[in-house]
Amino acid sequence: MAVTSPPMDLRGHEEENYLNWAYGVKSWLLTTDHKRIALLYLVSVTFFFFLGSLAAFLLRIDLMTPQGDLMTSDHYNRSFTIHGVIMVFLFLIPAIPGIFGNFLVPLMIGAKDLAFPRINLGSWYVYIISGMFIIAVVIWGGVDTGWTFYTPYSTTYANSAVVLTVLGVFLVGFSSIMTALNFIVTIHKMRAPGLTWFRLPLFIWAMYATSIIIMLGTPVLSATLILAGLERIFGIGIFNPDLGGDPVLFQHLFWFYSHPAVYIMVLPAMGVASELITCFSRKRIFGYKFIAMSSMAIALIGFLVWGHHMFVSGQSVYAGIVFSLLTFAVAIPSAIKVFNWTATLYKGTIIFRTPMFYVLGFIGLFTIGGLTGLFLGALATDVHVHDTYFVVAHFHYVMVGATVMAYLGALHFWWPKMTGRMYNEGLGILSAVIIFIGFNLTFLPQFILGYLGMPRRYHVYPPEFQALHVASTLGSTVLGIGYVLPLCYLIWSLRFGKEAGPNPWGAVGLEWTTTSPPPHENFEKTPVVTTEAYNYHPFEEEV
Amino acid sequence: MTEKHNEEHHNHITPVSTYLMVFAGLLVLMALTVYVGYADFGPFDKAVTLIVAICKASLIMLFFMHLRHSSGLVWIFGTMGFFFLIIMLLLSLGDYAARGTIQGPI
Amino acid sequence: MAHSESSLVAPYFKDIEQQRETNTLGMWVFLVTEVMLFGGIFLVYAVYYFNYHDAFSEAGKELNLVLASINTLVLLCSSLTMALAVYACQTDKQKMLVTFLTLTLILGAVFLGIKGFEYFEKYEHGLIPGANFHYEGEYPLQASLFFGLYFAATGLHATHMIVGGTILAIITVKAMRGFYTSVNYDTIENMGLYWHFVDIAWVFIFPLFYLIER
Repeated sequence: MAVTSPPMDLRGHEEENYLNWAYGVKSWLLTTDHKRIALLYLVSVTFFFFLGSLAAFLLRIDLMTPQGDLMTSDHYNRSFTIHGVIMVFLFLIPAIPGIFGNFLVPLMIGAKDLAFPRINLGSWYVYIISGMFIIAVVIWGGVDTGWTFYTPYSTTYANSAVVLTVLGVFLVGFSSIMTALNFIVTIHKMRAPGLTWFRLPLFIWAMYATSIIIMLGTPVLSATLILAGLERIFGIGIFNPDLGGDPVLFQHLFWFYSHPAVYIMVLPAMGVASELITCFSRKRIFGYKFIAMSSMAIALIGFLVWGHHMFVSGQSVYAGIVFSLLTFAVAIPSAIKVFNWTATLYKGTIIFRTPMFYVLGFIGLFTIGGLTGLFLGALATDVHVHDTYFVVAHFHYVMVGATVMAYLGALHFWWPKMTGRMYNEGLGILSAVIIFIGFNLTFLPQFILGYLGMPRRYHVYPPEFQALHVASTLGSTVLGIGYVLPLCYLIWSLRFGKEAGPNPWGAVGLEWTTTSPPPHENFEKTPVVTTEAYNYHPFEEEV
Repeated sequence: MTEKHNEEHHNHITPVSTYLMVFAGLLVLMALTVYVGYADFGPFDKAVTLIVAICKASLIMLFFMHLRHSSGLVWIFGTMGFFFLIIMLLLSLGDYAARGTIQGPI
Repeated sequence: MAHSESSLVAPYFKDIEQQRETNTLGMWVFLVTEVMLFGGIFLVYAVYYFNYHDAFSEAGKELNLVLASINTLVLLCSSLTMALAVYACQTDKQKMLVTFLTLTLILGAVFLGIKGFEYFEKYEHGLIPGANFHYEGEYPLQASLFFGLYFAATGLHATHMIVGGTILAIITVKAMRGFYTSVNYDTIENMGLYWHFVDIAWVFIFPLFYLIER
């Protein structure tokens, strides 16, 4: 978009920026600068990602053989539970909003900071404290209920650190809510002059829709966890059938949050995709309004489908029919986005850099994940594949194939802006390809396994499934290597990487008009916006 | 200019008399609440109780919380929670209402 | 005025008007989460209310309607005093502001005191679910469920009163020092929004738990 603001000193590195304007531990741990808080999130989120991956790796090794010989069944239960809890609550939900949302929202709308900077810092501290609770759980021997905490097992019979885990998850919900509240209010009240809603970058629309979901859904999880905790501590029969309760009621409450939660995980990834596709096709996005409205539609309809996790749990068949129909409806806005991204690529000037590799992978893998979700949304098919590896493969395609790849794409795309350094492009592309291959090798066999009847959360299985499991474990090893590579070369680039200019990608957006790294107050003078977003022209020179 | 209009909107000061009248209304509704609790309206019992409670909540929101003189944006957030709460209640209670209604091999 | 207008505005806002509107919108957005939080517990209550209506009716009669009615009145009064405090701040009446904030605080404390007494009563009658639950009526299991939900809902409400009361106390002290004027009244307004919401939660809890078919 065209911007009228005074020219800035764009040498970047030697100038004062948000990284070097103050030194010392206190200036980081007590910062209210949204950019520094984003980096705090980056470090902690990365730590938890690798912790969760470790648990996953243990699972995959145990699954190489049909007998459960690496771990006992009890330890296996604890491993997949902690993998789920860490990945869902400490990585997927906070990652893109906490890192890129925090860093970019004020920059993209021309503001000096978020509306409530101290609440922003508070959200990181709450995140860290809940992370420590989860680590305490691991040290205490773990929890074996599955990340879904189904009752009455979790509230009555489980012999593990349920209350501790529930407390940690309860806390991290507050962190989510604090971030979301900040984004909603900031986007409403602090946009630069001329920045109307339909001139906003689609990443902002995605952050806004995500935040609305967080505000509406997370408190219901909090209430559920309070009740489950009370049941466990005081022996009240809220969800225990022996005492007059209904276990399906827990599932209603749990999934009322946890289904919209998956849209909390994927909407930010979709926002990232819109940003990256336009930049690396050198084209205005196709169907801007449709993509923006689709984000809001996903947020709204996403609240109407939670029963599709309970088709075979004892829910009434009528409810199942209604939820199935609504599930088909929620796929429509996602599909609209995929069509629009594809149309953006058409007749664009495609530039193959690392972020583009990630986002192209994102589109393909999200499509597969989304379509398999439809198979699960059909009542009859779901009866056959419910609680099998088909489900596991489906959600890993959307959560890892889509969200994690978008996350890595975002990391590479905005790395030069955040750090002022470029990473090694060759290694970047290599890692993206390794990750894509490793990911598909891990999870494609799991669709077949599920269809053939391999149940989820089991580590003992009939020998005829072994070949597919070995392939999957091999894939996970490749995937692991793919994840470790960026960790290495990105950290290396901090010291030895080439200095990045303000706009190494030739991208369009307010964040690219600042230095890399940006100055502490973002903009010397508030920019005035006069044109649409993604005002790309075909590029004459190579980037 | 819209900014000036918004300023008048937001800086509206509700007079004390309005607050006192609303309070009187709330007292009346409270008496009604207790009466309804003891009376029997047959199948409409729970509905009447809820309607009285909703009236009280509406008075508090419109006048004590200044929703009446707030911008459309505040109205959206003021009502959003209740809207989604109703969705959650309808679909969940719908499940319970429909249980046991289809007989058969399922 | 106690402070100049510019010293009250944070550097990332363009003026005090934007700061006020932002803070108030923030509180409304936060209240959305509160509606859903209490809503989750109301859903559970609704499900069992419909399934165990007779048991809940019977158990509900054990609750102290008189104390709860007094508490309802206390809370409604505190909402009035809170609203009047906002009025006082908007019209720069410092003494009135401090008076009504203090009254609100006192009424809130009265509410919590009565609630505490109610809880103590329940403890004495052996109606706290768990090891010492002792119920004479026809449906002990469902009664345990009723009281579990009662304590969950009223406990959550009381927690909100305690947190709100603590913040209100801090605001009252600052108001005594003349910190709030017609320029920065949004803090008082937002405290009011929170306080009124907690009142609304009680407006629903009161009839739903205490007045089932008496």
